[in-house]
Amino acid sequence: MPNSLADMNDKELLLKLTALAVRVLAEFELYGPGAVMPGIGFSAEDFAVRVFGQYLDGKIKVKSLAYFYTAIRNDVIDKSRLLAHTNTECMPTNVEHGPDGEATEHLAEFPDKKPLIDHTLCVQSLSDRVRACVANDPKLKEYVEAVLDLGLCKPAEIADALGVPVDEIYVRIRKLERHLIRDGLKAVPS
Amino acid sequence: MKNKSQKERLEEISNALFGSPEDLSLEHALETLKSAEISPEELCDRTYNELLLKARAYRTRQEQVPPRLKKALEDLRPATAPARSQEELDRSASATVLRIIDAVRGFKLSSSSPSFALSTSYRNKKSEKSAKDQRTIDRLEKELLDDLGEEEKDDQD
Repeated sequence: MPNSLADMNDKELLLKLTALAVRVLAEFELYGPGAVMPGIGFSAEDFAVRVFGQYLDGKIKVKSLAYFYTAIRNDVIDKSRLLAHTNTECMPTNVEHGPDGEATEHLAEFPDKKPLIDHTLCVQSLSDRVRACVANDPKLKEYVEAVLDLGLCKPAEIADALGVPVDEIYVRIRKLERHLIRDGLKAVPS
Repeated sequence: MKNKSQKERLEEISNALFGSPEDLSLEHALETLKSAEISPEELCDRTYNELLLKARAYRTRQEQVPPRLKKALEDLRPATAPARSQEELDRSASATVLRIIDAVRGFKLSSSSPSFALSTSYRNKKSEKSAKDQRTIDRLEKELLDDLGEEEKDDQD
């Protein structure tokens, strides 16, 4: 199944990079209006195409998809930090007003109750999000618990612990990702 | 995100939960894009156009287009893009004819099927394209052909 970058068609590579970028944004719950990162305005496609372009230009040396994944993740984190930095240093000029005419506490472009960026990028918040999203699905719940509570990482060892075939674990992996993405998109304000 | 180990831990958990990027199959990637309501065709077309601009920028700066970028332009080139040379046009025409022949060979009528007749209604139907649409199409086609001509010239250099 693993495919070397040299053998991979660029169309396939682009689609895989975009899928990975979708995953990163879903993990960090960074979907805002229009399914773009709030305050930055980049979609998963934008992040993927940026890294893809840097690779084509020869600006980054990448040996495998895992390197790309890290590059996309780091790009998202850098943008988030930049945003958080701007957010704390700049005074809002366009503050939203509540029904009583008083200025609300958040910037206009950030939805209310959105956690600060640093809080969204930690293991705990990812775990909480994943647990919440599988709360009503017993099979996914036991899979998530095997990873988060038992610390199992490899599909074969998770399959062993749960007493199911490895193929079943791959099915659950895909289902979990779909759940997380759909949950993220559901939260996108229209 | 305080330190490197926290970043690594996050990546480790992510890989454990959603699978390693190395194991990502094309089928799985397409499924993910579908969940996120992303059209693969639109994504590839949009990226192809961006890469064309990127290649043009290199040429404007009188620089060589990087080989990887050239390859990506080849790989992402839409099937509907006009042929860049007579040879390519011939190749594409042969492939199309072969596909049609294969499709006709594979199409077996059952004995109970009604007899089919060709209809001329579509052939005689007036085009819904306005003169303005046609002008826009001609202009875009000319721009693209110019670009591809330049690209071809670069390849020969």
